Amino acid sequence: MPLSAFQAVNVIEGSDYFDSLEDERQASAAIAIHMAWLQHSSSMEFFKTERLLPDSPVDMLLLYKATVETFAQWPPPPPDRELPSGGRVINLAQAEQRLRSLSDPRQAALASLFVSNVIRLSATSSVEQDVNYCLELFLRCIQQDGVIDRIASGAIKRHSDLLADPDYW
Amino acid sequence: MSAGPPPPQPASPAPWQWVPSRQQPLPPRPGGTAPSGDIPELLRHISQIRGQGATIAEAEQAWVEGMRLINLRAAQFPGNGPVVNDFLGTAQGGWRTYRGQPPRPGDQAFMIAFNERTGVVITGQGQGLRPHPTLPGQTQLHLRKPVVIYP
Repeated sequence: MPLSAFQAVNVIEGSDYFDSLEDERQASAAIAIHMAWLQHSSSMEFFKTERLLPDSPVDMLLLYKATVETFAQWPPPPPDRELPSGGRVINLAQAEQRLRSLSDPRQAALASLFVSNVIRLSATSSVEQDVNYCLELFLRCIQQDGVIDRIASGAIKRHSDLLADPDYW
Repeated sequence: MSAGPPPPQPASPAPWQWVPSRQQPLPPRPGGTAPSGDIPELLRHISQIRGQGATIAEAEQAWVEGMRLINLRAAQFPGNGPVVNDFLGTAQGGWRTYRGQPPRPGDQAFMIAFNERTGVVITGQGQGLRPHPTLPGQTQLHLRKPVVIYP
């Protein structure tokens, strides 16, 4: 059952991690998943078309790390045939079903890696993570046109760096 | 160009309107959409009028109208624009937040926020907005290397 409003833990730790990323691919991955969160789960009125809500508070540090680690190697390694066991997650069955429904091989491989990262990182999270919510958000991120390639190339981070100059509005 | 509720309306019509110093706009820089120099000039104008007594609502209106004008000036360049200035909503603490349009999916975009309670105007980099650490459902302004336009 989704929460009535978005809730998060490790928000400040997540922000510190986000701000610490210098590597172009890592930072691009964090920016892209953050923008997906802003668009699909934040409370800002502009994004009214969808409010994707988790069933449990989201560990923002975990969310960023799981995304960054998904893009840590490029091209990504082939995903394991089985998801890791353990971890403090809920809604795993829905996530597994969603993974099986993906037809694009590259998206499916990245999504499987991402879910594995969420499960593994959740082992130390203070709150059980809604892995199906995390997956849905991740898919909304990478299914946008060209986002995977722009993360991989670091282009998102390079564009972000331009924003120090308001002439690039 | 702007979504959501309009900014607070001042008592008198646009007394703090921005007038571009260049009658003819300069071409946008590669990667930008606004005529070069226009937005930095508008930001300086916002800072100046706050110092001269414009209220935060009047400064916000000057921003919105200035961006409309910049959008028109940008349209003089074939294939350019629009210059987007979306009102995202009010973040926790009274930050009325505007954002440009990310050039490509996944990209960040400029943000500017007007604090309706404190009168501060700010831009900056980083996440821009994040979940509030303690208030469920609230979104908080969070900028790395913030540039305080006023005071």
